[in-house]
Amino acid sequence: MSSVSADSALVASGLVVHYGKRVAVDGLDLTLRRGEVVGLLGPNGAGKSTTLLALTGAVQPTRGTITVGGVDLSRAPLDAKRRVGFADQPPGLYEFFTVLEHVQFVAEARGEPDGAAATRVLEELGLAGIAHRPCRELSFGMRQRVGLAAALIGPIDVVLLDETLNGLDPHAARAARRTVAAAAERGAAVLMSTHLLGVAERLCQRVVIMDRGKIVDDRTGPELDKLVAQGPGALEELYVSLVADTGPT
Amino acid sequence: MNTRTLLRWGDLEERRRRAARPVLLRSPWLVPVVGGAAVALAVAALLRGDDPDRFATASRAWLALALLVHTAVMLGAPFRLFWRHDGALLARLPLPGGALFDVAAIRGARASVRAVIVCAPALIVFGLEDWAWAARHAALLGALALASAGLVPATALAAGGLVASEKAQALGKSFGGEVQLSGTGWLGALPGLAMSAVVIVAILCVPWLGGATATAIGPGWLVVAGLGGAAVIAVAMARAAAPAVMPHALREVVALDRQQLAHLEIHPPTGIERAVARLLGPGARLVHGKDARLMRRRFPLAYVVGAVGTITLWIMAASRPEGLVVWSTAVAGALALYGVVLARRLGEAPIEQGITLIVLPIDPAATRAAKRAWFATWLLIYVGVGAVPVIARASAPLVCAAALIGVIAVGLGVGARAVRA
Repeated sequence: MSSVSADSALVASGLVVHYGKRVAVDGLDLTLRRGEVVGLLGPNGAGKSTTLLALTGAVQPTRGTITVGGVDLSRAPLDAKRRVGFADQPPGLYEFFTVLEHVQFVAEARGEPDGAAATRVLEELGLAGIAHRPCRELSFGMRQRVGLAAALIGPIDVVLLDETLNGLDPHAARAARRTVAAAAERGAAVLMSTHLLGVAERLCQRVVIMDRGKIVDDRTGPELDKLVAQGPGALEELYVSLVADTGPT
Repeated sequence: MNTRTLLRWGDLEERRRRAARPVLLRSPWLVPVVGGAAVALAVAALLRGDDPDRFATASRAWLALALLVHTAVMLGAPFRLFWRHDGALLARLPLPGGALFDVAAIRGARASVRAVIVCAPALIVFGLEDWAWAARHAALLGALALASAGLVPATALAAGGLVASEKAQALGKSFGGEVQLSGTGWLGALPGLAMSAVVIVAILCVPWLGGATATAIGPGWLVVAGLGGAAVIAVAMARAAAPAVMPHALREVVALDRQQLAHLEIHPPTGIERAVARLLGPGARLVHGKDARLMRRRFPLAYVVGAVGTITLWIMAASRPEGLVVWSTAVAGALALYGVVLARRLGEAPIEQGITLIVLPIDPAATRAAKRAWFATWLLIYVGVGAVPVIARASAPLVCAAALIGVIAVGLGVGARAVRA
């Protein structure tokens, strides 16, 4: 079972998600501490996206509990959701809203009616110049950044990113990494699924590897630092040694 | 890939989609069959008794219903051709235009057959009274079916061709800037024009259906044959043009919907929408504001159709045609039906996007309330405001009020259920 402490932003205990007969997440225990950026790695079909969807409340777990900032997601879903920012893949943007309208809408839903907050996060991500463009006009990378902006807006404790840093150009990727790190510095816990092992090495203080719905490795602090210090490719070697290349299940 | 294989794949996908629906809606034929039986029983009830007007009443009621169901089929024509959920994928694949049009035409023909199934059993009841009388209704039903399966899809293809060739913009400019429809607007306006023509011709057939030798515009059999013949010629012309026009038109229409090609007016909610929002709770108010803005931007034609419906009701109130109650009820019913389509759109992309709303701290009940409020406002404004002068001018105001309020109430009930949050 995951430990619950004052600095726990999110605690998932014994999480199981079934899609019909298929088990997508199989008894996952995970605690996210405030201020940490956690990389969630795993092959396609490992259960990463399902885990993130369950943590947002978009997918009903078959078993297990999730608390966000001490609030039980199943008992007080609105209170819990107010504390979670989520960027899905591809980002679900309201195509006929402008970028600013979309981010403002999400901010208001999270109880942040101050329009200045939306403008500020757009500036942080280098999106101020396209604030008044309809979302449907955006390129893939811009949509990713708007999705990230919407995930970061409001008084959130947890940021969940589903491959959001993929497909960004180098400048945008740098701005996005900086913004994610800044959110963590403000006290939010960040859980980001990614296939970009280099990004995980550079940005994350902790790496969790999933396979077939289970966590097969979870390393943080000195353990991770030691691994990263072995040089580029060390994380990839660990990943390959832990995860069998069996294709999607 | 030819028509047969494209249709087979489409049907397979359609069956899988239907399998997820409630049991009674899994077969596309069950509801029409049950509806047809119910209509036949209702017509039989109208024909009972000694009232000399009962034949005219039953005939008009049947025609109003036939127009209603065929209007639904005709409204679907651009959706079957272009605005399909898989339109973007089909536009990217190297599919022959003829096959794309054929598949849409076959789906349209199936929808037409379902409409005929709703209307045809009542003709047997008519036949028990007078076979010649029933034959006239059957002929008009056939013409309506041909028009909804052929004429309107052909017009929709022509509109798609206009959009693809950018002639729509030139056409708009030729009106001196008075007509400022977007590409999407043309795709609704041209088939809408054809649909209105079909409905008007059918209403002009009322004297002939009642036993007169001619309609209001010419000999009855000739008018009906002309309507059916025009549909056959139109669909033949469309089929001939489809190989060249359809792939390009589909690609352009999908691009209009998905990318920046269509002009987008950024309007805030109107005064009425803001007033309605103030009546709602905080979560519902937020969703209502979003929906009001997105619906106005994505479906501007909904407001044009609503206004045309209201004006039609006002013209009816001013001219007081014979059978005012039946025709105003039919117009209100058609508007309510269109409103139900809009209510469904409130829960689909691009008004809703995947899980975006689900992960936000908004109570699903508030979301439903917001969407129902938008739909109810649309229906009450366009049908309600149109209905008031009709009721005031009707020879039997209470009967007229009961009929129109009944349509609004049924529309509100069905629309409220159609809203998915």
